[in-house]
Amino acid sequence: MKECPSCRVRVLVDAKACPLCHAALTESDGIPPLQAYPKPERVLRRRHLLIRLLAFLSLLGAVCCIMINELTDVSLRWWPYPVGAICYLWLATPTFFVRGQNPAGQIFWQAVLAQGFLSLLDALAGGIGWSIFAIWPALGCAVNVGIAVLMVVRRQWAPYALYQLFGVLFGLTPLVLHLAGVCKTLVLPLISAAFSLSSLFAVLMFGGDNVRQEFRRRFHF
Amino acid sequence: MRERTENSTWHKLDNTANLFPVVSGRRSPNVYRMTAVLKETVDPALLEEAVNVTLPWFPAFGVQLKKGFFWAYFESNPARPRVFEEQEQPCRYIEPRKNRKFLFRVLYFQNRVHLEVFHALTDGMGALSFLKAVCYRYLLLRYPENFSPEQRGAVYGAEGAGDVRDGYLRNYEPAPPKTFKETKALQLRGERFPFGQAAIVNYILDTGELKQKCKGLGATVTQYFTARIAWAIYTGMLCRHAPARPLSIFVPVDLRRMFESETALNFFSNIVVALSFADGADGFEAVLEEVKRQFAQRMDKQDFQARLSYTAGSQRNILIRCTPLVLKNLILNIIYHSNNKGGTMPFSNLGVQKVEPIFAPYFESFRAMLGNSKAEPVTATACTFQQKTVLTISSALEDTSLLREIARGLSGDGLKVEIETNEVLL
Repeated sequence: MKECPSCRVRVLVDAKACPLCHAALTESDGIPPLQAYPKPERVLRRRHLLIRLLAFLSLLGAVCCIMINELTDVSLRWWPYPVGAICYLWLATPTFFVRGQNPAGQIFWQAVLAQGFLSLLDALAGGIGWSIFAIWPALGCAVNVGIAVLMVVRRQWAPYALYQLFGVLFGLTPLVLHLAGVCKTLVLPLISAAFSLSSLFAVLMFGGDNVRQEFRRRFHF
Repeated sequence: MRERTENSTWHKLDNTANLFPVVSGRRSPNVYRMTAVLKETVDPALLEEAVNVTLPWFPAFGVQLKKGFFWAYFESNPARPRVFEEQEQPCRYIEPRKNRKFLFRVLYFQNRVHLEVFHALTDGMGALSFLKAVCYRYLLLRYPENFSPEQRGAVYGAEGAGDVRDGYLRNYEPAPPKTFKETKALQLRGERFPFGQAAIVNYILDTGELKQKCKGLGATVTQYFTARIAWAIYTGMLCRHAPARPLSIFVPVDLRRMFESETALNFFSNIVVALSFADGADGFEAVLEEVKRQFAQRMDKQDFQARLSYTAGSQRNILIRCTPLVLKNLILNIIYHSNNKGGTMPFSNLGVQKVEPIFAPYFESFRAMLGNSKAEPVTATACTFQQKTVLTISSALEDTSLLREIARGLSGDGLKVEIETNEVLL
């Protein structure tokens, strides 16, 4: 064991100089030094080269589209389509690579993203409304069916019940928009609402106490 | 149909814990470490078995964090935690996805058992209870021949571990509206070690000598260390230049004894010792006298009750309760980062640790360490076990003057000081 004459402390670890003041150490007794902490492995946050390359190419692509559009034909603005598609891919793809995600949450998130992107395309194409009266009800049905299948296959209700509720709200929204006068057609929104309410009733009837417990936990305030 | 919630239990986050998931990340992990130093090298397989046998007795630890619509909550975690050899920097951020959704980790290195805990789970006293219980079980498994069959079958260290009630809400009393605005304090700045590293120094002192010195100065160990740290900042880091803002050290206080609670969750408050060096300083003794005066003034149950009512009251407010969690977190984050300049650094003294008498011969000492963050680049803790008191300073700043001045201050008071450091300083 060594001692620092400046700090007047005994240094228990194996050091060439005082760790506090870097003065030379004197030998105080024959006790061997100990190792209190391991030499840490440096945790370098590896930003994958591929991801960085894709991000760079995406930004480059978006900038090129904007420049080409602005320099060639300003009467028709088409750059929001490819830029919107790039943004959609960057929002939708990473969820598939994150561990531990709730699959029902992924289904719901993908439906919301897809609806958002398609609404943007609809608006850019003149706002006919096909994304609301056709796509949204279809996605609403798909979300509710998808989560229901997940519940049956995994034989679990409670972990997916909250996203089922969100899916029901998502599936009911086209009907609400129809009643508000935003969406003119009734057939597809009605079918979507029927799917949503049916899956909600199924969860409430067959889920029993477990679903009620899950809602109680999720909505406690 | 097999159901996850059939056997799962849940409990709400306590009043303090609601903040941590919101403001924590890689740069501010809000993780602290408790260490038990044993007398022999740790057997990892037995340690892992000890953790898994002990965990069911501690519902505060065997949980995963879930997000509700209005509040986050803890739900029991059916996974089995694993134990790892210490290889990285202490008190790194705990990513639930990479840790089987647990918010604590158990590590070992030679003869040391480390428990690293995300602060949302519990405070230092709660963590020490769990660490001791794990060590007791480990020792029973490691040295079965030294214990009787009754002792091997008994459960040690789990008293009060099942109480997961929020101590803040249970001791809430309606009080007239009062705000607790903290004066902006001196912030320690400087070049930081790369890669998120921190220098760790354990100052090991003889408990008897230390107590005698403190008695001679008419101070407690906490007051003495607080004054020593403040003096070291003034002489070392500030080079005796008067700072524009006061030097504030916040000292956590365990509220369990004061409010007769046995909760296993967080239940603490802070005393802020604010020292102004605007007119210079008359020496360490003057600083110590001021620290003693402020401790006497602030260690008041009514004051703690008022603070408790203030923080718990906000959680009981109907508007806040009905606000969705997403919005609440956003607002909380903004408020936290704009008001986070009230302290210079924390110093937590966990006091004298006792263990069950039959296990005492196997323990050498205990250590504690608070993790660093963007706002708190330097932290301090102290812990006493039998004849060893260990003051641990963790500093993310490359400037070692604070570490040096603390050592010289302690040795200058005639105390025998031994130091252990990590590789960052070697």
